[in-house]
Amino acid sequence: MKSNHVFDQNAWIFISIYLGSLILVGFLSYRARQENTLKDFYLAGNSFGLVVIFLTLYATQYSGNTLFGYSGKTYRIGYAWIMSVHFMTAIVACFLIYAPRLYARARQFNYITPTDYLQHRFNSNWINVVATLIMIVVLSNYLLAQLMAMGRAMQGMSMADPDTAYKQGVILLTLIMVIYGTLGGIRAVAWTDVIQGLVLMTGFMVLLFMLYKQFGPLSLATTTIQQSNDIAKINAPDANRLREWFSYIIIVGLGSTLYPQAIQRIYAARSEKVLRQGLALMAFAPLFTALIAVITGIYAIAYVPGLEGTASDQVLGIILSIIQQNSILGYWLVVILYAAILAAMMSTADSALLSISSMLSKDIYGRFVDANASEAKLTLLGKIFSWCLIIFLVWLAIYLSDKTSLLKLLDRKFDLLIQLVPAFMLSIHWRGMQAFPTFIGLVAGVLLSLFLAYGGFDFVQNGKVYGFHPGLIGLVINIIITVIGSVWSNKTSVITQVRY
Amino acid sequence: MKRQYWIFAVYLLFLVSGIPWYWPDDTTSLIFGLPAWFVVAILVSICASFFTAFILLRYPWNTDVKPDEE
Repeated sequence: MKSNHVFDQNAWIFISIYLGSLILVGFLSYRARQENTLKDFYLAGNSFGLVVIFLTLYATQYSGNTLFGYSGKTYRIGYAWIMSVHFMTAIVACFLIYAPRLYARARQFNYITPTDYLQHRFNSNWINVVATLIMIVVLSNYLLAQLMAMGRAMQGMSMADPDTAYKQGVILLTLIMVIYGTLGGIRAVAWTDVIQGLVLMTGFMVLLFMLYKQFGPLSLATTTIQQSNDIAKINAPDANRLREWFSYIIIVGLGSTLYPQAIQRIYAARSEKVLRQGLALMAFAPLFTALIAVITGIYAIAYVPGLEGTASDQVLGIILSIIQQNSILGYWLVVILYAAILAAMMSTADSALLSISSMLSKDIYGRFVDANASEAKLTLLGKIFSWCLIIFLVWLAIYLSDKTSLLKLLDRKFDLLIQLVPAFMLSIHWRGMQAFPTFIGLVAGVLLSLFLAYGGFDFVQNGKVYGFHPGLIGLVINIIITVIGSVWSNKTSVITQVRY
Repeated sequence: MKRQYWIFAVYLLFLVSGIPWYWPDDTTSLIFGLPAWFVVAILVSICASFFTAFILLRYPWNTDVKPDEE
């Protein structure tokens, strides 16, 4: 079944106005800048109010993966992917572990990048370099997934042949994103996030309405599945799936709070009250986002059976195709939803790109190449790095077209990112934590995770060890080394102090 | 926000009750025409959302950094 929607001229005018408004916001935010500094470009001078902080957190957190990946994953494994609602809720809960203390320190010591905290806390270049590299690799991976998703979205909208449409989607949408991102920095990203977040929320509501109108209640879909060959997808999960469920809650809950763009949004809030209120609203986001993606997947199991492999990532497109053909209302609702899909991808990608540029310019260039570089120079370099990186990633997205599934990309990101949990979350509560064991633990955790993930072991099935993410096993080793090393180091230092 | 260990205990409760380990593999119970374990998982998630929002809105964060923590 083909998932091509082929929009008419009016629909393209609507989409073009929407995309044009993003560029306009980029110009407005450029004019709104107050000074040519890193703090203004990457944190907007800590000026974000409640609406901006909530919608920028929301638009950044929910990406192309949520729409395409989660509906596809539900289609493949069944109702058990409701675990995605749990792990998206866990993200907000995990912020409680360290956001209050990190916010206080960021305010007092003017942090710009995530690793500014690590530098201040440990004063260790080694920890800083490894943490920065992990974050850049993870974000580049994340960014690449969004670019590829943009290409796939365009395939569903354009009359051009699939290859051409994919390339057009990747290049055009990335170009728009990088233009407004380098014009206005975080201010442009956050202001466009407000538009994109509203479009995205509307899109999810529209999707739920369309599904109900087209297919009837979810209970009917369940009855249809019960009478089909997919009946196993309704069953309560088996032991392996339950372990995977637990693993996802821990790894995504902890890992997502450590995304550099998430940390920088903590820094950028106007006040702790605004940040708390924004996060409180985010606690409900999984219910009107991830849950709707899961429901979409369930409808697809019932009414679009028989898809396998990477084709299952296209179930959302196929469902929309069915709805679009039904009525003129359905057609326009699908147009709005496609605008939401583009919003989801671009708002996630622009934040990731901006965070990478801040780390490359401030943490790498500003710390190791030219420590005396002015803020204006670092800001300019950040923009140049953005363009260079995005050109490379656009090439990679085109080269890798249809070579990998979205969720395979997602899985490895968290395996790496979660290794930063001790360095950020434990160290902010435990003053006795020492730099050297933290560094050794971090490196050991990363190496063990990658070794398990790519080692080709028989006990690693679908990238998981008996249902657990390799990163979770790496994290356990990481924490053990960090804690034992720090305790031992503190004892030795006490003995040394007593002796001398 | 001071360390409040009861909050961890409540989240642990959500974790234990949200993951459907206690349902038999062959359960066919339905609630509103949907698998019962699925509905319970959603209800736990709703409770977790309200609880998280409550914690965030109820307890202001202490934004003072003590000198010995610098």
